[in-house]
Amino acid sequence: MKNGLLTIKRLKKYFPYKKGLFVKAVDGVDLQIAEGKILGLVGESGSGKSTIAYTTVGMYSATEGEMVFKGQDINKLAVDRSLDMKGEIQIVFQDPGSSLNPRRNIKQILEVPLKLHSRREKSGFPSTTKEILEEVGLAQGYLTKSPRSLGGGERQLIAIARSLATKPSLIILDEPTSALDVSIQAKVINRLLKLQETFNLSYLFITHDLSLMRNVADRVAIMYLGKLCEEADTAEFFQRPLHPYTRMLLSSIPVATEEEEKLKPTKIKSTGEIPSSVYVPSGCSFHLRCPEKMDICPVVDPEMKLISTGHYVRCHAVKPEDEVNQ
Amino acid sequence: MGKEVILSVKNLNVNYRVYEGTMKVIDGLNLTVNMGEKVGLVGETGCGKTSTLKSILRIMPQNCIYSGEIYFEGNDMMKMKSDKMRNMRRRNISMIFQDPTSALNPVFTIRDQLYSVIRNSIPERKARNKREVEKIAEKALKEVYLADPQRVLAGYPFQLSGGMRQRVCIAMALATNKDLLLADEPGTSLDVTIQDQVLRLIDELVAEKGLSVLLVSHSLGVVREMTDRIYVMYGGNMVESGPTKELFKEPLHPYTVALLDCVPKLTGEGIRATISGEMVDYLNPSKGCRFAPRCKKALNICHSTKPIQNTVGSSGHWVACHLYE
Repeated sequence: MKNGLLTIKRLKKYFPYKKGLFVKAVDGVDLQIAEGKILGLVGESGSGKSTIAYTTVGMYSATEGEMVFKGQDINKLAVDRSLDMKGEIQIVFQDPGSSLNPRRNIKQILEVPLKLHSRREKSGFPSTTKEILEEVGLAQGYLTKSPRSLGGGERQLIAIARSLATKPSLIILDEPTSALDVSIQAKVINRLLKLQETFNLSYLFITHDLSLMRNVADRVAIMYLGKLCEEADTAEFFQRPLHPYTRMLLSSIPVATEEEEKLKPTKIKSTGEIPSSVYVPSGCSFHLRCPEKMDICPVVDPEMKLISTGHYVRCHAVKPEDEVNQ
Repeated sequence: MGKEVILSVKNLNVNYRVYEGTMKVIDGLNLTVNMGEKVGLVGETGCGKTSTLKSILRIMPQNCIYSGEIYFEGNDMMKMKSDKMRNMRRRNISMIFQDPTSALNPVFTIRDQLYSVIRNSIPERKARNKREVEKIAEKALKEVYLADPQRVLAGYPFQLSGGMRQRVCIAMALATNKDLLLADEPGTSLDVTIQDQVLRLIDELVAEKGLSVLLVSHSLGVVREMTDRIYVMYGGNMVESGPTKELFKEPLHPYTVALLDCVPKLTGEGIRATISGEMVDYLNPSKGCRFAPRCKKALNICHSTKPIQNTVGSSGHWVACHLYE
C-alpha cells in the first residue's frame, strides 16, 4: 500500500447536537486507497460511511485528522480547493433523481463540468458530450432528453458520465445502485468496472450490500458507529471474517443459492440495533450487540490490530497470528 | 394439491387510467395460497406485485379499474359490500407494509393506533373492556420483542427507530387472530441485520399462530429463505411458479434464470448483466409473452401468442413459456 492515492488519517467529524454533545459521525478513521483500486466501505445506516465521502469531496470540513491526496493536503472545503483538485475527486450520489437538475437536458448537464475542466490536460478522457455518452454506453439521442424522462439506471449512468467529465482519478460512489433493481444494477456495475479499467480510476465504493462488494471491491472495510471494525483484501475478508460484527452482517444476508449458504457464518445471530452516535457506548462500541463480549469490552476500546498480511481487525477477542503461534 | 385453499385469485385484471391512456398492468393473474402455507411473490420494481396485494384487500387508488375473482375462504371478495369487506380487513386479513414510517400516523401515539386496531378487530363486547384491549396490546408488543412496551405505547412513531417501527407494525398486524398475512417487502427499508431479525420474527409468529402468508419481495434471497412456494412475476404476468427449493435449483423460465444470474453472489463470480432492454410499456404491452422483447431465447410465436402454463414434473412446478410446450 505504498502508492496511496488518497490517505485518510485519524479522521474525525463531529456535528454539534445539544449543549456539549456531539453526533460523532466519524470518530478516528484511517483509510488508504491505492491507485487504480476499488475500496469498498460497508456499514449500516448511521455508521458514518457517507460522512467520510462528503468530507473527502469537501462538502464538510473535518473536525480533526489528515487527508492527503497525491501528496497534497486536501483537508479543506471544496470552495477552498483548487479547480484541479475538485476535478480529481468526484462523487456520484445514491439518488440520481435528485442529484440531476430536472430543468436541464442531458447535454446541458454534461457541458458545464466539461467546459470548466477543458483546460486540464489528461490524456484518454473524452472531451465532448458525445464521447462521454459513448463511454457510459448511452446513445446520442439522450443528449436532448431531460433526466425526468429516463429510468433510474440511465439516470445513474448520466450521473457517472457527469463525474467523468472533470477527468478525475478518484470517484466516490455513495450507494450508486442501492435504489436500482438487480438487473439494472448489474448493468451499471459492469459499466463502472469497465470505466475503472479504461481510465485507471480509483473508487471509494460505499454500500450496505456485502454480496455486491464481494464481486466489485479489491479491498473491503467495515464501519460501525464511526469507526472501522475490520479491513482486508476481498478474498481474505470473505474467507476469514474475524470481527463479530462482520460475521453478524454476513450471516444476515439473505442469499439466493445453496453454495452461498455454506459461506455464511452459522453460529451468530443478529441482535439489537445500531445505537445513537451521540451516546456512543463505552469501550468497544459494539459490545452491546456482541455475542462474544468479554469483561474488558465495555471498559477499553480495542485498537486496530494487524492480524495477518493486510488484514486489520479492531476486537479484543481476535489475536494476531504470530501471537497465537507462540 | 388436496390442501385447503385459503386465498385464490382468478383471472385478475388491473388497469390504471392515466393521462396518456390506460395502463394494462396486471393481465389475467392467477394465484392461490393454501392453508398454513408461506407463498412468495417475487419480481422487479413495477411488475405489479404491490398492485396484486392491494387488489386483494381492495385498497386501490381511484384511477384503478380492476376485475376478476378473489376468493377468500370460499367467498368472492370482489362482490362483497364495502362494510363486509371492511370487517374482512379487520378480522381476517392483515398486511405489513414496506415502509413502516409512512404506515404509521405521525400525529397519534402508538397507543392510540394500536388500541384502535385491536378494538376494531375483536368482538364488540370485548372491545368495550379497556383492560382486555390493554392486555392484548401488551402481549402483542411482547411477542415482537419490544423491550419496554409502556415507553413504546406512549411514544410517537418518530421517537422509534426504523426496526422498532416495523416491529410495531407487525404487532398491529398480528395482535389478534388473523387467517392470512400479506407482507409487502417487510424488510426492504431496513438494514440487513435488522431485516434479518424482522424476518425471523415474522417467521416465528407465523409458525406459532398457524397463519398463511403471502410475502411480496424483490429480493430472491429473502423469498428463498422465507417461503415454501414461489410465484415469479414479470410485467403483470406470472411467468413461473413452484416449490421454492425446486425453483431455485432448477429455474426454467428465461426471466427467472436471468434474474437469478444477475444477483451479486457471496461466492464472487462477478456480476453478469443478463437482462437487457427496458421494462414493459404498460400503455401498449406486446400481445404475446410480455418478456419476449427482452428474451434471448424468444421464438417468433413469443411475440404474437400468450404462453400458457406448462406443468413440469409432479410437484406443482409450472412455467409460462413457449419453450416448454
